[in-house]
Amino acid sequence: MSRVQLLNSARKALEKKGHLNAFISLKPIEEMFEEARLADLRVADQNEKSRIDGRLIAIKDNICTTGFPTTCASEMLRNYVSPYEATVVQNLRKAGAIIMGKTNMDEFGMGSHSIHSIFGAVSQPGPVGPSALSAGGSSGGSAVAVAASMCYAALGTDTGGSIRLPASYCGIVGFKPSYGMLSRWGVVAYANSLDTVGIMAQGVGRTRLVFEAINSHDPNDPTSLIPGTRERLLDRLGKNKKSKSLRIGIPQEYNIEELTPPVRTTWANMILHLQNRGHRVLPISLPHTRHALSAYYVLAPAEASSNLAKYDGVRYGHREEKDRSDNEEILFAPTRKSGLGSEVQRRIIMGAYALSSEAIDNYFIQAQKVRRLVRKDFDDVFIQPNWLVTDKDHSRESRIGGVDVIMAPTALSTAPLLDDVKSEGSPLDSYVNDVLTVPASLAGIPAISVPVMAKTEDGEWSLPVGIQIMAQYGDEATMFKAAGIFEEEGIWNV
Amino acid sequence: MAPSPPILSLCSRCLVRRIFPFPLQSPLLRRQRLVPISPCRSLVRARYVSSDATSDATAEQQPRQKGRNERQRDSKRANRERDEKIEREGKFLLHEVEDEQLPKWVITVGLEIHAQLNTKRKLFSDARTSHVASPNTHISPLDASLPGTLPVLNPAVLLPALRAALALNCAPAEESRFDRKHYFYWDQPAGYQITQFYAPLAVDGWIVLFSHDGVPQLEGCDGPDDGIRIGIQQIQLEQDTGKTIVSPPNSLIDLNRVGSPLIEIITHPFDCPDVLFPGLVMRKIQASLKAVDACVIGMEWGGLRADVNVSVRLNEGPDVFGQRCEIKNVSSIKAVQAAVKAEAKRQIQILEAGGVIEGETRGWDAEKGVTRRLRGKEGEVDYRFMPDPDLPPVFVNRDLLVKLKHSLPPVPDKILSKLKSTPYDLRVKDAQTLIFWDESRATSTEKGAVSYYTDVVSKVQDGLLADQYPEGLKRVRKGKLSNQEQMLIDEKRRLVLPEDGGRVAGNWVIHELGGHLAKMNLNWKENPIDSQRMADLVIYVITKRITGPTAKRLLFNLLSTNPIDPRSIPDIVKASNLETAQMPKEEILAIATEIMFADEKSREVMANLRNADGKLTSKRRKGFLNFFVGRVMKKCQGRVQAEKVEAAVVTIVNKKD
Repeated sequence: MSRVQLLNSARKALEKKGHLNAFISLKPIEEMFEEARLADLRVADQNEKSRIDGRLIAIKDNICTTGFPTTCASEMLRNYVSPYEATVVQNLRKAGAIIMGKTNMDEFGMGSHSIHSIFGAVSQPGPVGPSALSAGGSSGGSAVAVAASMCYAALGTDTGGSIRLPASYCGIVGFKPSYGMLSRWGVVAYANSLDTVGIMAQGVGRTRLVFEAINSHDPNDPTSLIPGTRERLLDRLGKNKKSKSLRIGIPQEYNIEELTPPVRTTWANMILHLQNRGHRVLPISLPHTRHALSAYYVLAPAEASSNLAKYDGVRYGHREEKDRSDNEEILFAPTRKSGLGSEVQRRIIMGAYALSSEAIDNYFIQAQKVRRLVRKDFDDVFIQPNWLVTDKDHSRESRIGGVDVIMAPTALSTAPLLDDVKSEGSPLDSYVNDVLTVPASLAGIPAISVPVMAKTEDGEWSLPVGIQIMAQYGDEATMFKAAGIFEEEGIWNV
Repeated sequence: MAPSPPILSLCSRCLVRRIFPFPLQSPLLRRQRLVPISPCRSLVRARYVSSDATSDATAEQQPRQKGRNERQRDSKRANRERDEKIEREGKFLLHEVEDEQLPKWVITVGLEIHAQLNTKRKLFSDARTSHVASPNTHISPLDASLPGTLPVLNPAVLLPALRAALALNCAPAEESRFDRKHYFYWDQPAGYQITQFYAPLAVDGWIVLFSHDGVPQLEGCDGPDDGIRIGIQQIQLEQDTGKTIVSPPNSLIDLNRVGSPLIEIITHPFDCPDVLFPGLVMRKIQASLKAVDACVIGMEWGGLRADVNVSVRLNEGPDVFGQRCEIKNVSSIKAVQAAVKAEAKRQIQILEAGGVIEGETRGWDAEKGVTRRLRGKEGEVDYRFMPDPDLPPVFVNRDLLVKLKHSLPPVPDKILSKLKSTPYDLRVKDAQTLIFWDESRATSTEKGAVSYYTDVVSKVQDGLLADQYPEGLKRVRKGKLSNQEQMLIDEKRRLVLPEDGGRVAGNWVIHELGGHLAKMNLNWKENPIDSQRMADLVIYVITKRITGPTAKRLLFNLLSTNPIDPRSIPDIVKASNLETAQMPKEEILAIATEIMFADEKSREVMANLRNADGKLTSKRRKGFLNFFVGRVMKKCQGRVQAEKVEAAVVTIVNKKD
């Protein structure tokens, strides 16, 4: 199919499913057709810019673009247009991709259901009747755009699961690379040490193509892996890649009470299925998993309270009238009160407390220690050592029982009803959703959520369940290989 | 399957306390180095010192101890400096304690000095640093804190910062890190300043203030001959803020300065011999920074600002620091002195009235000459220091440090002691004059008065050597010397210069040439006399080939012709026949005789000399003799050596015919 034909079907989806509220801003359709035509010409000339030339890509609205506002779904940046473009977006355009628009999200990436947006909640159609389902968050708009075939792939950001969770709920592939792979220049920071740009698409192959098109060193990002380190990682990880079968670790600590039956059943079925296919499935222990979520909800808000301090209304963005004149209010307080949503304010306050001189020792510093232990847990179970921090191979002993990848569910449940999550009493209820995704974020390792459709006990198709695959730092190749196997080996008929 | 644990609780029992947490906040922080992370000692120290007054006290005693050891070693130098004592005491009068209250009290001061690093671009962005550009023209997206921006360290800032650290005798840390210090203010776009709180760039330095820095000699105090040592706790890199331009009813903000690189230099608390002392410390630090080209110096640009901590305690009382108050943002040396004086006075008055000092932050009101309360302890900002998650640590390579150390221009103290020793042997005052002139240079690599003077001396030595050992010097020029011959030549260079040669050259460079340049409003860059000519002139004076008055006239003529006479000094002397006349003794006697009885005045002086019969004081006698010497010299157009004339005059006076 030509790029123009593909765009035609995407247009139909956009028109039919606009009520899902996936997009905040969209490129005029004529411009998209113009770009698609040019791409078709290049294809005809066998002069494609890349393998994603002319493909429609949606961008989460916390990634800076010059053609559209970058709102982060916040009142604070409702009309903000960035004067510069994020490196990942530049890379996409160089590869010929059509940047089609900006997707809806939780304000500044803080949320698990894409309901904290000044542009309204994102939703996905439920299986029966008019009851909408949660799209997951915070990259819910990107997930729905992909799931509803409005685009070829979408960029999201993942701080503690913001790509993998919506991918799991929407039944698509969601991939968070190793920290430092994709540039963060132009990505509005939520928690810098955890933020990663990632890719959402229908299928592992597409995800990988987009990743390869934009994965490069960026001198503007001080945490972007330098070429020398990239080469070293490739070289070290390139060994031991001959075996066709995988050693798959099953972390006991992820089998928690809160897992809902469809998720637990699907996970168990997957284990059996993979064993039957000749892969080795090994129980492993990641003992500090139980503390990871607590540590995450100390560290991420702490960094957020710092990163969001810049929104004072002085240089750009929303500014409250009261702040323009002399008043009795505390400096910038009126602007920040009206410009930031309640969830964002809650996390800023939590983070400011965690960093305060009376609390830093008990919260922030303890959480950093937990983070280190969580990472050590992963280093202890993978066959590959963490080549980022060591250049010595494991001893022979530690290789015994080591695994190539870890397999676990992505979310506790399938997509819940949107009305249910909106009426949740405590914010803790939604924080719990991140419990299975934050360990990989804290460790900075790559993780991908692959959808599995399973039949329920009475023979009905269940909602999609996300199965997450984690690999050692920098080992995206093994992770993709495993994800490909999961997809190929019949995920649709477990 | 394992039972599910409670999810949202932070269990502290299972945490390993000895692991220090910071290096792990971003997995990338350690990417450039593959070493195990060790616990950060500097954090422990930094927090300990800043929060615990008793540890400050021990830190303070340590440098004192070292000062004592130094004193024994340097007793020889003390002897040499005795000559300059009179001069020094003259200076001390200026620093006499003005207030009767003060001797009862000991004033303790700690300085936090902010200095702008001398770099083209900002600390974390590639916008240019500027002081005079129109507002808001040098801003990168990062400086304005636009969403999505990230800081990238500009490695060029490390060089001046490390030079500053070395000039202040600090030990640069092998690994230092950046932290965020949070507070809301409109000239702080990010809502935080990136600084180095937990692991600063350099720690544990010192400076020594000597008598030539203006340190007073007070009774009971350690003598300034060995210097007073001031400890430097740490030097940290940080970002500058923007500027607020008040233009009612608005406050306008200029972001040009945002993100400019600063270093903050934190001293240990030190006791002040008088209220001017903290200003001297600041001046000394400033001079050291200037000498190594580390900083933009200039009060009008806000090049150097200080927060001053002041406390007082009874001289006789227990050895515990008093409650300190911090005076924010004092922007000149004079203001520091005035602020310390005013603040110490205020505290003493409160204490003498039976009151208690409250720990608070104060501001300096220069117009009224008082400090005023900004906020008390309860109003202190909690800066919520947090390691910056984006910036990797700074690793300073040992080899780089060694290279830097070798290429470092000498600090003023080193230049001074060099100029005080052979072959220069300058008086402290003259040496300080040269160093002072050099302070107006644009960079420390620019040739200034000191290098001009040392050039002159070296060329004088060459010239004298060429006179005495013409063969040897030819071989020197060809560079064909064995080590032994080189040593021999060096030795001869040393010997060839008369004992007062360095001082004579100094006189000619500083007082004669320097005097003329000052009158002509020229600086050293514009000095038209190259060092070779000056050296030739000095050689001719030293070897008595021309007399002092001739040399002065020659120098004046050279300076007052434009363009300058292109001929060399020997050529001019030869052409104008300026060389000292080799007049026979008899001829001088004849001229002298003629003049000494020429008129009424002369005869009167002669009578005074002859009839005094030893009743004249030697000073008066010398005066009468000089009267004649002067007249005879004038007659001979200054080309006859004064000593010969004096001998002739004395002969005639003693003749009594």
